[in-house]
Amino acid sequence: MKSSNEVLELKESFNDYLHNLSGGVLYIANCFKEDKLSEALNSIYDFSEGMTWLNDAMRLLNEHGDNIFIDFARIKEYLIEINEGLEKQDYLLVADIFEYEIAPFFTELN
Amino acid sequence: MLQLKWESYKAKNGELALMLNGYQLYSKYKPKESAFNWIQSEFDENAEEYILIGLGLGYHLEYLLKYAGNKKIYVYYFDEIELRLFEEKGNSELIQLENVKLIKKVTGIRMDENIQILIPNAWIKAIGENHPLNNILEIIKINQMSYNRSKKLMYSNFQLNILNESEIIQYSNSRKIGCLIAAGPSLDLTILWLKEHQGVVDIFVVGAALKTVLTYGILPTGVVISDASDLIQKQFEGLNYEGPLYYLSTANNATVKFLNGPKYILYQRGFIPAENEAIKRNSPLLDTGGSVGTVTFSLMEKLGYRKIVLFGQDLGFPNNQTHSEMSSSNVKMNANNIKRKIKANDGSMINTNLMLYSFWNWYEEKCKQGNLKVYNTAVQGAKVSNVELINEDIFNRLIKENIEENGDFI
Repeated sequence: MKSSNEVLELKESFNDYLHNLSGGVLYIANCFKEDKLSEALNSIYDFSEGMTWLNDAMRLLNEHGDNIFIDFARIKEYLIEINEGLEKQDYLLVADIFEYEIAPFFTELN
Repeated sequence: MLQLKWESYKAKNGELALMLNGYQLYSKYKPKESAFNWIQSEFDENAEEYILIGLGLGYHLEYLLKYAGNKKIYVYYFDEIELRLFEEKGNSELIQLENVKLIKKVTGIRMDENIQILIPNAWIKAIGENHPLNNILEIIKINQMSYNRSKKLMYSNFQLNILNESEIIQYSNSRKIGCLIAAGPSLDLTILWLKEHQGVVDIFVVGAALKTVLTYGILPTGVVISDASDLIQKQFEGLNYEGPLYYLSTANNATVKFLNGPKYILYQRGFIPAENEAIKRNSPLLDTGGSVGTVTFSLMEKLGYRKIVLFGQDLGFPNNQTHSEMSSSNVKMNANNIKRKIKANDGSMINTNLMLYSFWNWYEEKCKQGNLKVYNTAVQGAKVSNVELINEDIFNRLIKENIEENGDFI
Protein backbone atom coordinates (compact mmCIF):
# COMPACT_ATOMS: atom_id res chain seq x y z
CA MET A 1 0.00 0.00 0.00
CA LYS A 2 1.47 3.38 -0.95
CA SER A 3 1.38 6.51 1.18
CA SER A 4 -0.88 9.29 -0.08
CA ASN A 5 2.21 11.41 -0.76
CA GLU A 6 3.73 8.75 -2.98
CA VAL A 7 0.43 8.37 -4.79
CA LEU A 8 0.26 12.11 -5.41
CA GLU A 9 3.80 12.09 -6.76
CA LEU A 10 3.03 9.18 -8.98
CA LYS A 11 -0.07 10.92 -10.29
CA GLU A 12 2.00 13.97 -11.09
CA SER A 13 4.65 11.94 -12.92
CA PHE A 14 1.92 10.11 -14.75
CA ASN A 15 0.27 13.31 -15.95
CA ASP A 16 3.58 14.91 -16.88
CA TYR A 17 4.60 11.88 -18.89
CA LEU A 18 1.27 11.77 -20.74
CA HIS A 19 1.51 15.47 -21.40
CA ASN A 20 4.95 15.18 -23.00
CA LEU A 21 4.27 11.97 -24.83
CA SER A 22 2.85 13.33 -28.10
CA GLY A 23 5.88 15.57 -28.49
CA GLY A 24 8.17 12.62 -27.88
CA VAL A 25 6.28 10.46 -30.34
CA LEU A 26 6.51 13.14 -33.02
CA TYR A 27 10.25 13.34 -32.37
CA ILE A 28 10.52 9.64 -33.11
CA ALA A 29 8.52 10.05 -36.32
CA ASN A 30 10.80 12.87 -37.43
CA CYS A 31 13.93 10.87 -36.76
CA PHE A 32 12.65 8.14 -39.06
CA LYS A 33 11.63 10.60 -41.73
CA GLU A 34 15.07 12.21 -41.62
CA ASP A 35 17.00 8.91 -41.71
CA LYS A 36 18.32 9.51 -38.19
CA LEU A 37 18.07 5.84 -37.52
CA SER A 38 20.10 5.30 -34.41
CA GLU A 39 18.34 8.17 -32.60
CA ALA A 40 15.00 6.78 -33.77
CA LEU A 41 15.70 3.22 -32.69
CA ASN A 42 17.00 4.28 -29.28
CA SER A 43 13.91 6.41 -28.76
CA ILE A 44 11.61 3.53 -29.68
CA TYR A 45 13.25 1.50 -26.98
CA ASP A 46 12.56 4.32 -24.49
CA PHE A 47 9.01 4.55 -25.76
CA SER A 48 8.22 0.89 -25.24
CA GLU A 49 9.74 1.02 -21.74
CA GLY A 50 7.59 4.08 -21.17
CA MET A 51 4.46 2.19 -22.14
CA THR A 52 5.26 -0.51 -19.62
CA TRP A 53 5.75 2.11 -16.95
CA LEU A 54 2.51 3.87 -17.92
CA ASN A 55 0.59 0.61 -17.63
CA ASP A 56 2.04 -0.13 -14.19
CA ALA A 57 1.41 3.42 -13.01
CA MET A 58 -2.19 3.32 -14.20
CA ARG A 59 -2.79 0.07 -12.37
CA LEU A 60 -1.24 1.40 -9.15
CA LEU A 61 -3.20 4.64 -9.27
CA ASN A 62 -6.44 2.79 -9.87
CA GLU A 63 -5.65 0.56 -6.88
CA HIS A 64 -5.50 3.73 -4.83
CA GLY A 65 -8.84 5.07 -5.83
CA ASP A 66 -8.28 6.63 -9.22
CA ASN A 67 -10.35 5.74 -12.28
CA ILE A 68 -8.06 6.00 -15.27
CA PHE A 69 -8.59 4.07 -18.46
CA ILE A 70 -5.98 3.86 -21.21
CA ASP A 71 -6.60 1.42 -24.00
CA PHE A 72 -3.40 -0.57 -23.73
CA ALA A 73 -4.77 -3.23 -26.03
CA ARG A 74 -4.72 -0.61 -28.76
CA ILE A 75 -1.20 0.48 -27.81
CA LYS A 76 -0.14 -3.13 -28.03
CA GLU A 77 -1.51 -3.30 -31.57
CA TYR A 78 0.47 -0.22 -32.49
CA LEU A 79 3.61 -1.78 -31.05
CA ILE A 80 3.04 -4.92 -33.10
CA GLU A 81 2.64 -2.85 -36.27
CA ILE A 82 5.78 -0.91 -35.39
CA ASN A 83 7.67 -4.13 -34.87
CA GLU A 84 6.58 -5.44 -38.25
CA GLY A 85 7.71 -2.21 -39.86
CA LEU A 86 11.07 -2.41 -38.09
CA GLU A 87 11.67 -6.00 -39.08
CA LYS A 88 10.98 -5.10 -42.65
CA GLN A 89 13.03 -1.91 -42.27
CA ASP A 90 10.24 0.13 -43.81
CA TYR A 91 10.96 3.19 -41.71
CA LEU A 92 8.49 5.52 -43.40
CA LEU A 93 5.78 3.08 -42.43
CA VAL A 94 6.97 3.24 -38.83
CA ALA A 95 7.13 7.05 -38.98
CA ASP A 96 3.53 7.14 -40.19
CA ILE A 97 2.35 4.96 -37.31
CA PHE A 98 4.03 7.25 -34.77
CA GLU A 99 2.96 10.51 -36.38
CA TYR A 100 -0.55 9.74 -37.54
CA GLU A 101 -1.79 7.03 -35.23
CA ILE A 102 0.07 7.07 -31.92
CA ALA A 103 0.54 10.83 -31.51
CA PRO A 104 -3.19 11.60 -32.04
CA PHE A 105 -4.07 8.73 -29.69
CA PHE A 106 -2.16 10.40 -26.85
CA THR A 107 -3.23 13.91 -27.76
CA GLU A 108 -6.85 12.76 -27.41
CA LEU A 109 -6.11 11.20 -24.03
CA ASN A 110 -4.91 14.52 -22.72
CA MET B 1 17.11 -8.55 -64.79
CA LEU B 2 15.82 -7.55 -61.38
CA GLN B 3 12.16 -6.58 -61.44
CA LEU B 4 11.23 -3.50 -59.48
CA LYS B 5 7.57 -3.38 -58.56
CA TRP B 6 6.23 0.16 -58.53
CA GLU B 7 2.80 0.87 -57.05
CA SER B 8 1.26 4.32 -57.04
CA TYR B 9 -1.76 4.91 -54.85
CA LYS B 10 -3.77 7.71 -53.30
CA ALA B 11 -2.48 8.79 -49.90
CA LYS B 12 -4.81 9.65 -47.04
CA ASN B 13 -4.55 13.36 -47.83
CA GLY B 14 -5.44 12.86 -51.50
CA GLU B 15 -1.93 13.30 -52.88
CA LEU B 16 -0.36 10.57 -54.92
CA ALA B 17 2.05 8.25 -53.11
CA LEU B 18 4.35 5.49 -54.26
CA MET B 19 5.51 2.10 -53.03
CA LEU B 20 8.43 0.13 -54.39
CA ASN B 21 8.55 -3.62 -53.78
CA GLY B 22 6.10 -3.15 -50.93
CA TYR B 23 8.12 -0.42 -49.23
CA GLN B 24 6.82 3.09 -48.67
CA LEU B 25 8.89 5.66 -50.52
CA TYR B 26 6.80 8.42 -48.98
CA SER B 27 4.44 8.78 -46.03
CA LYS B 28 1.07 7.26 -46.82
CA TYR B 29 -0.62 10.13 -44.96
CA LYS B 30 1.25 13.14 -46.28
CA PRO B 31 3.64 12.01 -49.01
CA LYS B 32 4.89 15.40 -50.19
CA GLU B 33 5.52 16.56 -46.67
CA SER B 34 7.66 13.54 -45.88
CA ALA B 35 9.84 14.30 -48.90
CA PHE B 36 10.03 17.93 -47.83
CA ASN B 37 11.13 16.96 -44.30
CA TRP B 38 13.83 14.75 -45.70
CA ILE B 39 15.26 17.32 -48.10
CA GLN B 40 15.10 20.02 -45.46
CA SER B 41 17.13 17.96 -43.03
CA GLU B 42 19.69 16.63 -45.53
CA PHE B 43 20.32 19.56 -47.82
CA ASP B 44 23.86 20.92 -47.71
CA GLU B 45 23.92 24.48 -48.99
CA ASN B 46 27.70 24.38 -49.34
CA ALA B 47 27.60 21.83 -52.12
CA GLU B 48 27.81 23.06 -55.65
CA GLU B 49 26.12 20.11 -57.32
CA TYR B 50 23.73 17.42 -56.21
CA ILE B 51 23.02 13.84 -57.09
CA LEU B 52 19.57 12.66 -56.03
CA ILE B 53 19.09 8.91 -55.99
CA GLY B 54 15.54 8.03 -56.96
CA LEU B 55 13.06 9.93 -59.10
CA GLY B 56 9.77 8.39 -57.95
CA LEU B 57 6.98 10.95 -58.13
CA GLY B 58 9.48 13.79 -58.12
CA TYR B 59 8.67 15.12 -54.65
CA HIS B 60 12.27 15.10 -53.42
CA LEU B 61 13.35 16.73 -56.67
CA GLU B 62 10.71 19.43 -56.30
CA TYR B 63 11.88 20.43 -52.83
CA LEU B 64 15.54 20.04 -53.71
CA LEU B 65 15.04 22.56 -56.51
CA LYS B 66 13.54 25.02 -54.03
CA TYR B 67 16.69 24.84 -51.93
CA ALA B 68 19.28 24.40 -54.66
CA GLY B 69 18.07 27.12 -57.00
CA ASN B 70 20.03 26.96 -60.23
CA LYS B 71 22.70 24.56 -59.05
CA LYS B 72 23.13 21.40 -61.08
CA ILE B 73 21.05 18.42 -60.01
CA TYR B 74 21.56 14.91 -61.34
CA VAL B 75 18.61 12.63 -60.71
CA TYR B 76 19.25 8.92 -60.90
CA TYR B 77 16.29 6.76 -61.85
CA PHE B 78 16.22 3.02 -61.54
CA ASP B 79 14.22 1.85 -64.55
CA GLU B 80 11.97 2.88 -67.39
CA ILE B 81 8.78 2.13 -65.48
CA GLU B 82 9.79 4.60 -62.83
CA LEU B 83 10.46 7.21 -65.50
CA ARG B 84 7.18 6.57 -67.25
CA LEU B 85 5.27 6.78 -63.97
CA PHE B 86 6.84 10.12 -63.26
CA GLU B 87 6.11 11.42 -66.75
CA GLU B 88 2.47 10.38 -66.47
CA LYS B 89 1.71 11.18 -62.86
CA GLY B 90 4.39 13.52 -61.59
CA ASN B 91 5.32 17.09 -62.35
CA SER B 92 7.14 16.23 -65.56
CA GLU B 93 8.14 19.85 -66.18
CA LEU B 94 10.75 19.48 -63.47
CA ILE B 95 13.00 17.36 -65.64
CA GLN B 96 12.81 19.86 -68.47
CA LEU B 97 14.60 22.45 -66.34
CA GLU B 98 18.05 23.36 -67.54
CA ASN B 99 19.88 22.49 -64.35
CA VAL B 100 18.20 19.10 -63.94
CA LYS B 101 19.73 16.09 -65.62
CA LEU B 102 18.22 12.61 -65.52
CA ILE B 103 20.80 9.88 -65.38
CA LYS B 104 20.70 6.14 -65.67
CA LYS B 105 24.38 5.65 -64.85
CA VAL B 106 26.59 7.38 -62.32
CA THR B 107 29.82 6.97 -64.26
CA GLY B 108 31.17 10.06 -65.95
CA ILE B 109 30.18 12.44 -63.18
CA ARG B 110 33.11 14.11 -61.51
CA MET B 111 32.82 13.27 -57.83
CA ASP B 112 34.55 15.74 -55.62
CA GLU B 113 33.80 17.13 -52.20
CA ASN B 114 31.51 19.75 -53.62
CA ILE B 115 28.92 17.33 -54.84
CA GLN B 116 26.30 16.14 -52.36
CA ILE B 117 24.88 12.67 -52.84
CA LEU B 118 21.32 12.52 -51.57
CA ILE B 119 20.06 9.02 -50.85
CA PRO B 120 16.73 8.62 -49.09
CA ASN B 121 17.07 5.49 -46.98
CA ALA B 122 13.65 4.28 -48.10
CA TRP B 123 14.99 3.73 -51.62
CA ILE B 124 17.90 1.62 -50.43
CA LYS B 125 15.57 -0.68 -48.50
CA ALA B 126 13.03 -0.78 -51.29
CA ILE B 127 15.40 -1.86 -54.08
CA GLY B 128 16.39 -4.79 -51.90
CA GLU B 129 19.63 -6.53 -50.96
CA ASN B 130 19.96 -8.26 -54.29
CA HIS B 131 19.91 -5.12 -56.36
CA PRO B 132 23.39 -4.40 -57.75
CA LEU B 133 23.38 -0.87 -56.33
CA ASN B 134 22.27 -1.85 -52.85
CA ASN B 135 25.74 -2.39 -51.38
CA ILE B 136 27.35 0.79 -52.62
CA LEU B 137 24.36 2.92 -51.64
CA GLU B 138 24.30 1.36 -48.16
CA ILE B 139 28.01 2.04 -47.74
CA ILE B 140 27.74 5.68 -48.83
CA LYS B 141 24.70 6.14 -46.63
CA ILE B 142 26.22 4.64 -43.52
CA ASN B 143 29.33 6.76 -43.91
CA GLN B 144 27.17 9.86 -44.33
CA MET B 145 25.14 9.01 -41.25
CA SER B 146 28.23 8.30 -39.19
CA TYR B 147 29.78 11.59 -40.29
CA ASN B 148 26.63 13.57 -39.51
CA ARG B 149 26.53 12.16 -36.01
CA SER B 150 30.10 13.10 -35.20
CA LYS B 151 30.51 16.23 -37.34
CA LYS B 152 30.31 18.77 -34.51
CA LEU B 153 32.64 16.78 -32.28
CA MET B 154 35.09 16.34 -35.15
CA TYR B 155 35.29 20.08 -35.72
CA SER B 156 35.75 20.94 -32.08
CA ASN B 157 38.38 18.24 -31.57
CA PHE B 158 40.20 19.42 -34.66
CA GLN B 159 40.34 23.03 -33.44
CA LEU B 160 41.83 21.89 -30.15
CA ASN B 161 44.16 19.28 -31.63
CA ILE B 162 45.93 21.61 -34.00
CA LEU B 163 46.99 23.65 -30.97
CA ASN B 164 48.91 20.64 -29.60
CA GLU B 165 51.75 21.26 -32.06
CA SER B 166 52.27 17.52 -32.45
CA GLU B 167 54.73 16.14 -34.97
CA ILE B 168 53.55 15.04 -38.38
CA ILE B 169 54.41 11.61 -39.75
CA GLN B 170 57.29 11.01 -42.14
CA TYR B 171 57.80 8.33 -44.71
CA SER B 172 60.51 6.08 -43.37
CA ASN B 173 61.14 3.39 -45.97
CA SER B 174 61.16 0.79 -43.22
CA ARG B 175 62.15 -2.69 -44.20
CA LYS B 176 60.57 -4.12 -41.07
CA ILE B 177 57.38 -6.09 -41.23
CA GLY B 178 54.52 -3.99 -39.87
CA CYS B 179 51.93 -5.68 -37.67
CA LEU B 180 48.51 -4.07 -37.42
CA ILE B 181 46.74 -5.07 -34.21
CA ALA B 182 42.98 -4.57 -34.28
CA ALA B 183 40.58 -5.75 -31.63
CA GLY B 184 38.56 -8.42 -33.40
CA PRO B 185 37.91 -11.80 -31.76
CA SER B 186 40.78 -13.59 -33.55
CA LEU B 187 43.32 -11.48 -31.64
CA ASP B 188 42.83 -13.72 -28.62
CA LEU B 189 44.13 -16.62 -30.71
CA THR B 190 47.06 -14.89 -32.38
CA ILE B 191 48.43 -12.28 -29.99
CA LEU B 192 51.07 -14.62 -28.59
CA TRP B 193 52.74 -14.96 -31.98
CA LEU B 194 54.15 -11.48 -31.41
CA LYS B 195 55.86 -12.09 -28.09
CA GLU B 196 59.14 -13.47 -29.33
CA HIS B 197 59.43 -11.14 -32.31
CA GLN B 198 59.00 -7.78 -30.58
CA GLY B 199 62.34 -6.32 -31.55
CA VAL B 200 62.21 -7.23 -35.22
CA VAL B 201 58.68 -6.22 -36.19
CA ASP B 202 56.86 -2.94 -35.73
CA ILE B 203 53.55 -3.20 -33.94
CA PHE B 204 50.78 -0.63 -34.44
CA VAL B 205 47.84 -1.11 -32.12
CA VAL B 206 44.35 0.36 -32.33
CA GLY B 207 43.28 1.94 -29.05
CA ALA B 208 40.66 -0.72 -28.42
CA ALA B 209 43.31 -3.47 -28.48
CA LEU B 210 45.89 -1.75 -26.27
CA LYS B 211 44.76 -3.37 -23.04
CA THR B 212 45.02 -6.84 -24.58
CA VAL B 213 48.45 -6.15 -26.04
CA LEU B 214 49.90 -4.76 -22.80
CA THR B 215 48.40 -7.59 -20.78
CA TYR B 216 50.43 -10.01 -22.87
CA GLY B 217 53.56 -7.97 -22.20
CA ILE B 218 53.87 -6.70 -25.75
CA LEU B 219 55.10 -3.16 -26.32
CA PRO B 220 53.57 -1.29 -29.24
CA THR B 221 55.57 0.79 -31.69
CA GLY B 222 52.56 3.05 -31.62
CA VAL B 223 48.92 3.26 -30.64
CA VAL B 224 46.34 4.76 -32.98
CA ILE B 225 43.12 6.58 -32.15
CA SER B 226 40.63 8.12 -34.55
CA ASP B 227 37.27 8.40 -32.78
CA ALA B 228 35.93 11.81 -31.81
CA SER B 229 34.00 10.57 -28.80
CA ASP B 230 35.06 10.94 -25.14
CA LEU B 231 34.41 7.24 -24.67
CA ILE B 232 37.76 6.23 -26.14
CA GLN B 233 39.58 7.55 -23.10
CA LYS B 234 38.42 4.36 -21.36
CA GLN B 235 40.77 2.42 -23.64
CA PHE B 236 43.74 3.93 -21.79
CA GLU B 237 42.55 4.11 -18.21
CA GLY B 238 44.75 2.36 -15.69
CA LEU B 239 47.32 1.36 -18.30
CA ASN B 240 49.93 4.09 -17.77
CA TYR B 241 50.79 4.00 -21.45
CA GLU B 242 53.56 6.42 -22.28
CA GLY B 243 54.53 5.16 -25.71
CA PRO B 244 53.95 6.90 -29.04
CA LEU B 245 50.42 8.00 -29.92
CA TYR B 246 49.22 8.52 -33.47
CA TYR B 247 45.95 10.40 -33.49
CA LEU B 248 43.60 11.51 -36.22
CA SER B 249 43.22 15.29 -36.33
CA THR B 250 39.56 14.92 -35.34
CA ALA B 251 40.18 12.35 -32.60
CA ASN B 252 39.02 13.02 -29.07
CA ASN B 253 41.13 15.86 -27.72
CA ALA B 254 40.63 14.95 -24.06
CA THR B 255 42.14 11.53 -24.73
CA VAL B 256 45.09 13.05 -26.58
CA LYS B 257 45.72 15.37 -23.62
CA PHE B 258 45.34 12.50 -21.16
CA LEU B 259 48.32 10.66 -22.64
CA ASN B 260 51.92 11.62 -21.96
CA GLY B 261 54.12 10.04 -24.58
CA PRO B 262 55.31 11.30 -27.95
CA LYS B 263 52.42 12.32 -30.19
CA TYR B 264 51.90 12.39 -33.93
CA ILE B 265 48.95 14.03 -35.63
CA LEU B 266 47.37 12.44 -38.71
CA TYR B 267 45.54 14.46 -41.34
CA GLN B 268 42.78 12.80 -43.32
CA ARG B 269 41.48 13.10 -46.82
CA GLY B 270 37.80 14.08 -46.99
CA PHE B 271 37.80 16.53 -44.09
CA ILE B 272 38.58 19.92 -45.57
CA PRO B 273 40.20 21.57 -42.51
CA ALA B 274 42.56 18.59 -42.21
CA GLU B 275 43.42 18.70 -45.89
CA ASN B 276 44.28 22.39 -45.62
CA GLU B 277 46.40 21.87 -42.54
CA ALA B 278 48.23 19.00 -44.23
CA ILE B 279 49.17 21.27 -47.12
CA LYS B 280 50.37 23.92 -44.69
CA ARG B 281 52.56 21.47 -42.81
CA ASN B 282 53.57 19.41 -45.82
CA SER B 283 52.14 16.28 -44.20
CA PRO B 284 50.95 13.13 -45.95
CA LEU B 285 47.17 12.67 -46.15
CA LEU B 286 45.53 9.51 -44.88
CA ASP B 287 42.49 7.68 -46.20
CA THR B 288 40.45 6.91 -43.14
CA GLY B 289 38.13 4.10 -44.26
CA GLY B 290 35.82 4.85 -41.35
CA SER B 291 37.41 2.79 -38.59
CA VAL B 292 40.49 3.00 -36.40
CA GLY B 293 41.73 -0.22 -38.02
CA THR B 294 41.57 1.22 -41.52
CA VAL B 295 43.17 4.46 -40.30
CA THR B 296 46.02 2.38 -38.85
CA PHE B 297 46.44 0.57 -42.15
CA SER B 298 46.57 3.88 -43.98
CA LEU B 299 49.13 5.16 -41.47
CA MET B 300 51.36 2.15 -41.93
CA GLU B 301 51.12 2.50 -45.69
CA LYS B 302 52.14 6.15 -45.49
CA LEU B 303 54.99 5.36 -43.10
CA GLY B 304 56.40 3.12 -45.79
CA TYR B 305 55.84 -0.46 -44.65
CA ARG B 306 55.87 -2.83 -47.61
CA LYS B 307 54.70 -5.90 -45.70
CA ILE B 308 51.77 -5.68 -43.32
CA VAL B 309 50.35 -8.49 -41.22
CA LEU B 310 46.81 -8.04 -39.93
CA PHE B 311 46.02 -9.27 -36.43
CA GLY B 312 42.47 -9.14 -35.09
CA GLN B 313 41.09 -7.46 -38.20
CA ASP B 314 38.22 -9.93 -38.50
CA LEU B 315 35.58 -7.67 -40.10
CA GLY B 316 32.98 -10.23 -39.15
CA PHE B 317 32.15 -12.77 -36.43
CA PRO B 318 31.49 -16.50 -36.45
CA ASN B 319 29.26 -16.43 -33.38
CA ASN B 320 28.04 -13.26 -31.72
CA GLN B 321 31.21 -11.63 -30.50
CA THR B 322 32.45 -8.48 -32.24
CA HIS B 323 35.66 -7.78 -30.36
CA SER B 324 38.28 -9.77 -28.47
CA GLU B 325 37.46 -10.72 -24.88
CA MET B 326 39.47 -8.04 -23.18
CA SER B 327 38.70 -5.20 -25.54
CA SER B 328 36.72 -2.36 -24.07
CA SER B 329 34.56 -2.47 -27.16
CA ASN B 330 33.33 -6.03 -26.75
CA VAL B 331 29.63 -6.13 -27.31
CA LYS B 332 27.49 -9.18 -27.79
CA MET B 333 25.57 -8.69 -30.99
CA ASN B 334 21.93 -9.55 -31.24
CA ALA B 335 20.21 -10.76 -34.37
CA ASN B 336 19.06 -7.28 -35.29
CA ASN B 337 22.55 -6.03 -36.00
CA ILE B 338 23.46 -8.83 -38.31
CA LYS B 339 23.11 -7.69 -41.84
CA ARG B 340 24.62 -10.30 -44.03
CA LYS B 341 26.95 -13.24 -44.42
CA ILE B 342 30.46 -13.03 -45.78
CA LYS B 343 33.07 -15.66 -46.69
CA ALA B 344 35.81 -16.22 -44.13
CA ASN B 345 39.44 -17.09 -44.74
CA ASP B 346 38.74 -20.73 -43.88
CA GLY B 347 35.90 -20.92 -46.39
CA SER B 348 33.11 -20.84 -43.81
CA MET B 349 30.38 -18.20 -43.87
CA ILE B 350 30.50 -15.70 -41.02
CA ASN B 351 28.19 -12.88 -39.97
CA THR B 352 28.89 -9.26 -40.56
CA ASN B 353 27.04 -5.99 -40.18
CA LEU B 354 26.84 -2.95 -42.36
CA MET B 355 29.69 -1.05 -40.75
CA LEU B 356 32.13 -3.96 -40.81
CA TYR B 357 31.10 -4.68 -44.36
CA SER B 358 31.99 -1.15 -45.40
CA PHE B 359 35.42 -1.55 -43.79
CA TRP B 360 35.90 -4.87 -45.58
CA ASN B 361 35.02 -3.15 -48.82
CA TRP B 362 37.70 -0.52 -48.12
CA TYR B 363 40.32 -3.23 -47.67
CA GLU B 364 39.18 -4.91 -50.87
CA GLU B 365 39.84 -1.69 -52.78
CA LYS B 366 43.11 -0.96 -50.97
CA CYS B 367 44.57 -4.41 -51.45
CA LYS B 368 43.72 -4.52 -55.15
CA GLN B 369 46.75 -2.36 -55.90
CA GLY B 370 49.80 -4.53 -55.91
CA ASN B 371 52.49 -2.51 -54.13
CA LEU B 372 51.80 -3.74 -50.60
CA LYS B 373 52.06 -7.31 -49.43
CA VAL B 374 49.31 -7.89 -46.88
CA TYR B 375 48.78 -11.00 -44.78
CA ASN B 376 45.86 -11.98 -42.57
CA THR B 377 45.85 -14.08 -39.41
CA ALA B 378 42.11 -14.27 -38.72
CA VAL B 379 41.13 -17.79 -39.69
CA GLN B 380 37.45 -17.06 -39.21
CA GLY B 381 37.74 -13.44 -40.27
CA ALA B 382 36.40 -12.10 -43.55
CA LYS B 383 38.46 -13.02 -46.60
CA VAL B 384 39.93 -10.04 -48.38
CA SER B 385 41.02 -10.60 -51.99
CA ASN B 386 44.82 -10.57 -52.52
CA VAL B 387 45.36 -10.97 -48.78
CA GLU B 388 46.84 -14.32 -47.86
CA LEU B 389 45.91 -16.15 -44.67
CA ILE B 390 48.98 -17.20 -42.70
CA ASN B 391 49.50 -19.36 -39.64
CA GLU B 392 52.14 -19.00 -36.94
CA ASP B 393 54.73 -21.07 -38.79
CA ILE B 394 54.44 -18.97 -41.91
CA PHE B 395 54.56 -15.82 -39.79
CA ASN B 396 57.79 -16.96 -38.19
CA ARG B 397 59.19 -17.85 -41.60
CA LEU B 398 58.25 -14.45 -43.04
CA ILE B 399 60.12 -12.76 -40.23
CA LYS B 400 63.14 -15.00 -40.66
CA GLU B 401 63.21 -14.31 -44.40
CA ASN B 402 62.84 -10.60 -43.79
CA ILE B 403 65.84 -10.61 -41.46
CA GLU B 404 67.87 -12.57 -43.98
CA GLU B 405 67.04 -9.96 -46.64
CA ASN B 406 67.45 -6.85 -44.56
CA GLY B 407 69.51 -7.53 -41.51
CA ASP B 408 68.16 -7.94 -38.02
CA PHE B 409 67.33 -4.30 -37.27
CA ILE B 410 69.49 -3.93 -34.20
